[in-house]
Amino acid sequence: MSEWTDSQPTQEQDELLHKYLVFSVDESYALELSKVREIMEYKPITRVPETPAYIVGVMNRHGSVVPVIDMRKRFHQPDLENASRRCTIIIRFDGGHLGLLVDNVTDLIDIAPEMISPPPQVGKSYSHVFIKAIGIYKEQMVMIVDADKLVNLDDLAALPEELAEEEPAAAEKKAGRKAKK
Amino acid sequence: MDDFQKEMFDVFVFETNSFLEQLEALLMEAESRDDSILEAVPEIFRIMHTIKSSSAMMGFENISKLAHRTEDLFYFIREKKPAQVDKQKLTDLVFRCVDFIRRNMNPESCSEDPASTIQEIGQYLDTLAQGNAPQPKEPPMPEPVAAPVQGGIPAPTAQADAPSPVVQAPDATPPAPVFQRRASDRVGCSLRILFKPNCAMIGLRAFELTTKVGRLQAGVVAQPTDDDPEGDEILASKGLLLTLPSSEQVEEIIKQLEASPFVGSVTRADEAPRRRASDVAAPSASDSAYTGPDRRSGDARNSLYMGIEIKKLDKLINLSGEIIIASMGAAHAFEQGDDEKTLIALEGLHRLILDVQDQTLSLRMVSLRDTFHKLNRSVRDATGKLQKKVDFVMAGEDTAVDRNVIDHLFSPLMHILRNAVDHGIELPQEREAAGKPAVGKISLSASIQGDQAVISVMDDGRGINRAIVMQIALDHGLITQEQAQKMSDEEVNALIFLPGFSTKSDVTELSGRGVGMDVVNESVRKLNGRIHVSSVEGQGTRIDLRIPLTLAILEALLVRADQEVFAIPSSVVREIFTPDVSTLRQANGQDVIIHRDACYPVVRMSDIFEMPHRSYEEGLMILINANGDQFALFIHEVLQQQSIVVKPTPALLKSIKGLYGCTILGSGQVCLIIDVVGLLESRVKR
Repeated sequence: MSEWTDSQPTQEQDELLHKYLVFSVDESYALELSKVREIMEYKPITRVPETPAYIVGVMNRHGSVVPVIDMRKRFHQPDLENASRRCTIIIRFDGGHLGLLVDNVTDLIDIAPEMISPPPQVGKSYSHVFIKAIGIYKEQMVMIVDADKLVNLDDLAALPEELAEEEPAAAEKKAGRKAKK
Repeated sequence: MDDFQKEMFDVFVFETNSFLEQLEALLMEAESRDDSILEAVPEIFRIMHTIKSSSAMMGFENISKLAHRTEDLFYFIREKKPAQVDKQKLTDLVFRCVDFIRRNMNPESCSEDPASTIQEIGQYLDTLAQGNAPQPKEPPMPEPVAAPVQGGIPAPTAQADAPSPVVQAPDATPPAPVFQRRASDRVGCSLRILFKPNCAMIGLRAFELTTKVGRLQAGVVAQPTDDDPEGDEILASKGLLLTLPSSEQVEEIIKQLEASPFVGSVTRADEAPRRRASDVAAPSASDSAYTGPDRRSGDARNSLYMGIEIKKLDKLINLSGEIIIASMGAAHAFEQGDDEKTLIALEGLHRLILDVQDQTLSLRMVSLRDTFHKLNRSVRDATGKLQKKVDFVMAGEDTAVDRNVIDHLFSPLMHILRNAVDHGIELPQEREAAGKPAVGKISLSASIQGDQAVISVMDDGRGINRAIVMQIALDHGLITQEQAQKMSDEEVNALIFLPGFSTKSDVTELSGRGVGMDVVNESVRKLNGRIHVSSVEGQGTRIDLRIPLTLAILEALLVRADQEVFAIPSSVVREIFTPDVSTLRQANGQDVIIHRDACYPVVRMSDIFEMPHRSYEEGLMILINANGDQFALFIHEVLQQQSIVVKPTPALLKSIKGLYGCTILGSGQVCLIIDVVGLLESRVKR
């Protein structure tokens, strides 16, 4: 899937409004397409210390560093045996990007607004907090994930950190060259 | 705020900040050269005038009011040339004004009432008027022209649909008396033409008008010029400024202009007053009402925009053209199956790409000038408050470093300088008693050494008293008696950077709360720099900061622990050695190692990352020394030392201590750069 820029004409945004990306982590979940930036094949992930377990680390997305959460861990499901066939959905999150490691991406669907209802309040499902709404698609129930709640920012006690905010993308080759010397 | 307003606001903040910096520089310069501030008056007047208009336009009425009043004051001084102007008073007033504007240039906190300052300016204005003017009836407040202040035009926020609020400025009032008087003094005059909001092809319209006026009067200068790349935007926001060599026929010209299509309004404008008629002909980029790429930078709040030398951009464009040609050459050679030629072409391409990179990196380099000027200002404030006399000297302001480094240099340098004033320089009578000149000397200098910038602060004050420093460190429990006896002078000097350390028993407004110097330590550490202090008691102190020129590239040691690779900044690595297992001990459950007669705590990388342990025989120790903290880091293998590109840590992970940033290895995998000291801190906390 190709990428689109952040500043989309509103018309296109409207078209995206009812589109959902369906991915599976044992069960199927839907994600608003307007949140999705890109789907990437599995790439090695570098672990980061002192993060909640569901944050599996960081990965390289076209030269920038993106944190990745494992949706299996997030939904408290057992790990998959062959992890390398999974893929990563890159979404917009909290002013930056976030990778969601999922088993696979299965479909792109339209759900009309009238087919969407709030999540049931009964039962204490573990993944309750992440489910924004329930949609009906082809008479099947689809759980719509609330992307904004996937990472609990309180899990990462926020401390001010100002350095290295600008992206020094241009610097890459210079470093390579210096290393050669 | 919608996007458009946000953008307008950003530009406003950028522009106003540049003006304020310019103002400060002007005042500091006038003060240091003992020049009369009067020389700077026209410039100050102009800046205040612009700020008044733009802040009113953005809806900051309090700023606008204050700027208006200050403008009045300077207008009065400029026109009436009063005999006794209290320079000190004037400088202070402007500084207060500058501070006020800085504080209030923010939609969240813009409610401060400028009444007291305005009143003071008013009083001073009255004093001046009484001392000078025999004609007190003359109102010292000219009604500004193109400035939509409070009354006439509603705040632009209400009309966000218009393409640019500035365009709404046309107010049919006749030109104000100020400018009429100016126009009549044979210096020529300037006309500001604002276009109607719906004006298409604005550049062309401007060109048409310029030509039209040019036919009536030779030597007309237009700003922006028609080859200005940002001309259209300037035209849309500020309108066209025509400078006429003479004010003859002006009425006729205005009439003609007003009759032209798409012209919203024509007003006589206040042209840069310091320029004489003779050099008006030079449309210079230094007219800061337009673009001034030179010193617009250095403030964190400014970091959305920066000025760039056109030459550098041109060079980049040339290079990218060359790259395209070279890549076609490579493709051609490849198609022909000529491996050797392909290789040569690829090498050429690679070289070009490196050039592009050098060039792009250089775009980020900014001179320290603005930072130095701001520091000059804080030294001035500090000396005033503490009744000390200091001669402040600066050198090497043109030293350029990466702008993200600059943003983090101001606060540590400010603390060092304030400290020098507060703790270093003695009171005048003390100095005389010690046989020194009553006026102390503080110098701030910068230079480049290799890939580092060295910034030094020197004072000729009382120096660091070893005994007192040690006593305080002991009292605060920062060191033990044993340690104290063995410490070298250098180590003692480094103590002043420890958190909670303060040599002055009384708390002053500026320093003495035990915070300050540890801020310096922290900031410099974040910049991967080093601090060195040397001091001779009774003669002075010298503090050197060595800072890498850029944060984008870092010298680092790549190490492996278990299966994972990490980068450690070389600046903290003191030594790498193979541990001798017999020198390992346990103290309070903590592994320690004795190396060269010193004892260091051992931190295992595998503990931090919850990796399987290995015995100490199977790895290496890296002796880490970061601003006083020393320990041995146990890793499994040292891979190599190299320059790495620092990628910012994702915002989500910013809170993790111990992470300096990330880099991407040749394999494409992300590698963490370890902030060793932060890491240690987060360990110790548990």
